[in-house]
Amino acid sequence: MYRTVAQLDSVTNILSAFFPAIFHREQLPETSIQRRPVWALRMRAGGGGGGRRAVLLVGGTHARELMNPDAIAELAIDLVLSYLNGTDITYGGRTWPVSDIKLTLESLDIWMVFCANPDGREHVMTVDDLWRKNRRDNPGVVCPNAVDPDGVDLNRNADFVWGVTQGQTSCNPCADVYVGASAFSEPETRNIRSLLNTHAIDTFADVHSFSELILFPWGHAPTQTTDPSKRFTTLPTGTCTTIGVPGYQEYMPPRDLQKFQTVGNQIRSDINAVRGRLYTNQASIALYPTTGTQSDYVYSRHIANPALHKTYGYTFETGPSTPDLRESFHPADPTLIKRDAKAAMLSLIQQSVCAIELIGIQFLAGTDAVTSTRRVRDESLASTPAGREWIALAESILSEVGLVLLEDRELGQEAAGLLEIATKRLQYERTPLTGDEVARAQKLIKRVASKSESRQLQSDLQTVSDALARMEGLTITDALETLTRQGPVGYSNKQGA
Amino acid sequence: MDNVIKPPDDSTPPGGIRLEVTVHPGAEQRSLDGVYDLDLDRVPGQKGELRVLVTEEQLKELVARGYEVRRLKSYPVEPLDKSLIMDDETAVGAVERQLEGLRQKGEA
Repeated sequence: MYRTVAQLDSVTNILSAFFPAIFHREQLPETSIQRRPVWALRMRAGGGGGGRRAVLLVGGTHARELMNPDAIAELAIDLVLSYLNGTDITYGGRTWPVSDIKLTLESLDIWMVFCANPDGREHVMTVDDLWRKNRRDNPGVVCPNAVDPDGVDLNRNADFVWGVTQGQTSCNPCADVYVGASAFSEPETRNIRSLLNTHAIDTFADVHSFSELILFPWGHAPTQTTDPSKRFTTLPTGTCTTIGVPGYQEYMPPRDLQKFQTVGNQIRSDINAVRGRLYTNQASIALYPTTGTQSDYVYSRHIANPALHKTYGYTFETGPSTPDLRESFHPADPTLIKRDAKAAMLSLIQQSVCAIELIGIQFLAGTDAVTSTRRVRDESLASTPAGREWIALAESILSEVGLVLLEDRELGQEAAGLLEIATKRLQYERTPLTGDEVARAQKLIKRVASKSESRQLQSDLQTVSDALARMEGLTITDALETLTRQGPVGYSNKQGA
Repeated sequence: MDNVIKPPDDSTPPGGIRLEVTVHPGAEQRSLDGVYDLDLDRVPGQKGELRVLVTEEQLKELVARGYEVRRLKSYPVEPLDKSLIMDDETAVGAVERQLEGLRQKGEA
């Protein structure tokens, strides 16, 4: 069963009223076309000021996809229950220990917009249960072929190659994929942009239904990683025709593509652990070509304007394709699909935690070491396939390793000390790594591995330890050089199938 | 005969009707890329087939263009089944009670 718009709003009200130290409710700057308020809820625990990494989850963009606003609301409830009761979160066969939940809520800002398109949801519940768009009046439009001449598709209205009618995108107001009169012509899409403008959002998911997909950019063209001159910023917009460049492929840095794939694969794995559903992790265009979508827009912002924060944007398509469309968009019992959806969102949230950043903040009173580490990652390792394999390995284990380090302060201090040494070595590049330093790092790795029951983590940590053994006597430059030439032995990044 | 339009099963309701169909190249081997030009409401197919929600006029247009159209189901335009909408007690009251006991912990 599904909540009405008023009921969803009530849940935001209850959470913020009951738990003001955890939830902050904010009315977004604009009401919907039909003057309904649109609410955002920020969840954080553990006090402290700003500067946290942030996630934004958006539901209800497409009106008829009813499950996801409820799933986001119920995820917020599950999270606060877990945090305050000290209980794990279990969705089917996947359990998130309360220690993970605590770490997550105490280190991130989780922004949630349960329902971005309240007018559309109301219309679905009272008039037309297969309505997709918002309720924009399209004056003077006559649509002999359509059920209703109104509305704009809110997932075609963002300022990303807007109005270029690739695939499922249209300049015809009668179409269900109508782009609107201009980019961000709709208050509902401007609200999401406002959140992105006012908060540094690191990861984003626009949660849709259906067909069991995890989608990442790009949607307008195939992705390539070799020619940075092929940028969407050079494409015309608002043409109401296709891109018009034969064979056009959009550039994405290989490091970003890998990150989208690696994070998406973990989300897929977490969903699969719930009850065996196998989502597909793929670029958006593999579903069908689109422009003006929210997830492409959020990721494109830092490219269009380098002063803007970089946001990794996903679209989830929850629930299976069934023979009955009504059952696909709003099944009679969405319980199991909502569980999958919540697992997907929680997986993304958890992967948004940056363990190295937390260690820097907690043990080093600063983020200089983090900045240096990121520079090595982005400027050195990311430059070769072997180096990117190391990044993938690190990202797949950092969340769990971080948890161990933060729970055991002695180990955390030791990790921070080693991080400082690494930072100094980066500053004084000619000083070689000593045998003592390598041994100290290996000892730490061994102790972390002993605290985990995960064979995979133990195996991955052993791979790191083995690589360290080969670095004694090398300068940091030479050590990095070896990593960019040879990837982790025995590690294979589980790229999306 | 797959490309023959069948009359609607139901008499057309006042709000109209949507038809769920899959579109195929047909005897003329028409490229399915052309279907995009018709601005139809495409939904994911179960096995990757081109599946769209159309009005009767749109269905006729597809057939006129030489596509083979397989009609799957019709959906009268109507509100969501009321039995699928939560009552206030389930949607809000139960949540309130579930969380009430934790209020003090949350303020700590």
